[in-house]
Amino acid sequence: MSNRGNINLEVYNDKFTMCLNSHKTIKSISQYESTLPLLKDYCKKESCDGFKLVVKSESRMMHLELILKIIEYLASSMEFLSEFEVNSMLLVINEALSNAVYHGNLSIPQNFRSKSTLLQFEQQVLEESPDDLKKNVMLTVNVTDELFEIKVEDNGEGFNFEKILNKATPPSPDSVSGRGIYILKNSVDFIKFSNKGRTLVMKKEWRTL
Amino acid sequence: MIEWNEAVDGNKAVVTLSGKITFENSAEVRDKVKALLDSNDIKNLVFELSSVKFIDSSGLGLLVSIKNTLSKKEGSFVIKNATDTVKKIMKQTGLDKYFELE
Repeated sequence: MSNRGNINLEVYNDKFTMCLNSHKTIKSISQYESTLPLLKDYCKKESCDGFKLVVKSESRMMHLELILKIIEYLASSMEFLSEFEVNSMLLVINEALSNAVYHGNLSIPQNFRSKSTLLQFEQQVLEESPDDLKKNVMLTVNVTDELFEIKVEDNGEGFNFEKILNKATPPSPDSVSGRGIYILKNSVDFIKFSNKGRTLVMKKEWRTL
Repeated sequence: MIEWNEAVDGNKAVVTLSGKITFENSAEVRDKVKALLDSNDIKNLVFELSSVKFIDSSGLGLLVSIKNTLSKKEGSFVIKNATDTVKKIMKQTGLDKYFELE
């Protein structure tokens, strides 16, 4: 099973790797909608014991939605994963990807987020600095029957990750922001930022959930 | 993707959500809550979350802002039937004590 549309799939030892470049695939989103159930059937039939997804995406909401949807499909096709495990992993990916795109690549102002929607923000970026939306985010998700590993790389300016990672307590309960990295840190067994905060690697064993 | 259903009874409203509350939709949910609170003078709001798979930091921020808004109006905000993933994130961030969870 390979080259279904613009998704490149490689199967190796009951595990498959999917390489996805959202620049090419987003135009044919409807094609993927019909491909996803086929993937699910395939995983069930072959009793896949994991998957690897390598994604290069633009900094656009529609692309992120597509990626998250594909990951959800793949993860929920793994028979060894419970719904709780799938959702726990999706939360981590969701959090890491939105941080990389909105805080990393697009440097979204805090006050904008409290008043407008992300699509309105995207529209503003499109009008003022459209090239910013072409900044890539690279995501690698590796799922086995023992653990998941995630690597996210953005092209932003980086940030002082040590200061945030070292916080021992969550933000004040009445605070409306600032929980993203705290959640990541407390949801995985291993977390490491590098490249001035532009690269994030995380690992989590299912048994420690 | 999030589904929204609301039932209003006097100054009380029950909103049943289904899906995920994340960066993708939290601003849209915020606008709907604002419209609901403004147009019906709602003082007591219940969020029924049994079909919400998970909530990210953006969604948690939204729930906190709803709670803060209703506290200022001397109203109440109750979260009902949160799933295990949602309960876990609430506990992790210390919000399980801040919200009224049923």
